[in-house]
Amino acid sequence: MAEQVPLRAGDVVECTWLEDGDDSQRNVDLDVQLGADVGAGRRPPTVRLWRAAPGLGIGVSRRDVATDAACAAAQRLRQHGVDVVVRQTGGTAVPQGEGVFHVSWLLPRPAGGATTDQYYHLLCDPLVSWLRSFHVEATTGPLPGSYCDGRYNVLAGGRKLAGTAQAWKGGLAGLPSSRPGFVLAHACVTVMADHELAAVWINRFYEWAGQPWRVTAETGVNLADLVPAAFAGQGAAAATERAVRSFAGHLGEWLSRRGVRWRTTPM
Amino acid sequence: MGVYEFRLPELGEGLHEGRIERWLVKPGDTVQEDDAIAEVENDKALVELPSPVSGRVLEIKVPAGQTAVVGDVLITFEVEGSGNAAPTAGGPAADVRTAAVEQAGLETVTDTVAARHLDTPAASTATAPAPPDSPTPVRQEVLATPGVRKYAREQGVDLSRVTGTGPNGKITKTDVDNYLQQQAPDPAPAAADAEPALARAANAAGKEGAEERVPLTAIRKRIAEAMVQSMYTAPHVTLMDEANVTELVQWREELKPTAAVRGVKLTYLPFVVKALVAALKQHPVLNASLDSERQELVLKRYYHVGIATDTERGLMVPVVRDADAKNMWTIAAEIDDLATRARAGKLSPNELKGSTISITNIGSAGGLFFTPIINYPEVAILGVGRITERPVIQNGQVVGAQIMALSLSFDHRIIDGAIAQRCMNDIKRLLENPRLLLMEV
Repeated sequence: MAEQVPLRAGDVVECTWLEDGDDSQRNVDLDVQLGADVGAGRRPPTVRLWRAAPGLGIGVSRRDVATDAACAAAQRLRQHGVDVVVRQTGGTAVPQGEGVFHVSWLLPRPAGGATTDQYYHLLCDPLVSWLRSFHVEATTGPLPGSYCDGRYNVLAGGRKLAGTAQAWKGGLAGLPSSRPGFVLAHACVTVMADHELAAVWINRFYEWAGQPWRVTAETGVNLADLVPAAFAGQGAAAATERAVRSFAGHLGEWLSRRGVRWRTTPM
Repeated sequence: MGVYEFRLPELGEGLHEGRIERWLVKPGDTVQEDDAIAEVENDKALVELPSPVSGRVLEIKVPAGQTAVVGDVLITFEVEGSGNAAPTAGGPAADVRTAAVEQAGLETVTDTVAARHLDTPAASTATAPAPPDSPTPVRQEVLATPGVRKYAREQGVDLSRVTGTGPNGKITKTDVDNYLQQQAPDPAPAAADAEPALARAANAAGKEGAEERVPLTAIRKRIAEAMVQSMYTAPHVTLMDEANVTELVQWREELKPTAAVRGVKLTYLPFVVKALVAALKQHPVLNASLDSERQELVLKRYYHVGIATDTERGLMVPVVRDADAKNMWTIAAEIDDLATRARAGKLSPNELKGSTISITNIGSAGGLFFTPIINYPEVAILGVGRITERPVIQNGQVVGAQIMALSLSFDHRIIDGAIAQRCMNDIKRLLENPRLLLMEV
């Protein structure tokens, strides 16, 4: 186990596929429910691999909808048939829909020796190595103009394949707390997303909300575009499911090589 | 009782600032150790800060929405015992980094932050002043997103020399560009010759920035390519005619309550679809495509009608499949569903493929006659204009009538004008006598 990764050899990580395809907001909020269980020690550190609810949508942060104008903008989008879900992590709006899959790491909030970078590495490193298995050379870094830009975008060919963000909730582990805390490190990976349409709606949201963020569709890329042979003839839902299964297999191996015990529930 | 100062901890490598998103406590509140007191966003991580002590909130030093630097005092508490406040009021602790780390239970990983923060006077002189209503002067260094920092590095710009125009003085990419522009030497006279035509035109008109170049989106490019292919492949002819749809208008009004009960939005399009399909059965050459390679006409014995739909992204043509086998209610519901999902971008690619003929409706936008472009490789497209109330002579009397404008474009390689007009006549006959449509259901 690399020193900087907040897991140690012998730790147990559980993989869950829990998702709610009917209620998109609940689908997002499941991260918090599971995280609370992780923080309280009711379940081991967990990786949740999940797909967004079907249909076009965007996921915004709580800061994004902190003003009346932003709430009205979200409502206007919903009236246009665009689903808007609010997530707990930081950053700005991201694409949602059946062509996107999510990786949510849920770990107890540490009492010391932790930085956001460590969790970003835990999140991004297996994604990068998984992409390598498709012969896709990926890296992490910022990409101005991309959705939810930050230092830990997963980039392939200079375009963004995954966006990442975190939420640290509750109190520190090891201290008496009414709300034992957890860290959520989250990535959304675009397998077969409509970046163009997502950019239209994200920009429209910020325009209506009176906020300055803007994105350009050309900064985004889909896994299906990078490795078309792997997803030939598949629709977004099927391609995403295939990608999730593939990543789950890779992640299990990645953790096992580091001495972390991996257990998974049937998908 | 003593005073305990809580400082912003460092949360990420090399990140020495964080924005206070929300305070979860207010002065006077009593908190227990480990209670969440604030949310700070840093590097896209929204971090709840737990209170390191039990006590009473005295003062919030950095308001919500403000960016603070690692080590800044965020909040003070009244606590049992002596507290940790520095003896000189307002003075920083001897080692703010260590203090912040100890308080938050978090560990710093770089030494540069505190060193730069405490030992580099130049850094503080380059910062924007704190707002006048700020309770304490919050020490700010350069505020910029990682992307802007990277851009500045690539351009060789020292961000401390750039004035930020974003929130809280945050430096934007435009600020960097403006700085570069200011630093650039005056252009040589020859450079004027190399000025882009766009700028020259704008300057000639005396209106700097009077034009804007907007890159075409991918879908716009596809629309453009499709239009060009159709227009320059199929020689278009357009027939224009009018149908007296007075009875249809009345019938639709009568059907509206029933449609409401069924939850169906009943426009004129389902009637037009049904009339068109009935006419195509009489004139199958219009429901066809040309296989130019084999020089064969492919007659389609199925009727998939494309409905041109205006969306945010541009024109889309979702398809009502097997329209001949569906009743009017089903077609109405399907058109409504397809149009709604087209505008929301929720259609699957298969729902946008396979039409054998298309209908385009300019009437909803107020238009009358036009020359629709065929949805190639189809061979015809029916354009529907708005319905207008006009005087007509009927049995020697001038009466009011509802007149629908129709435009039928066809590929003249395949279809002769007379055939197209006969097809148009059948469409008109059905729309003018909606009872005949019943026979087609």
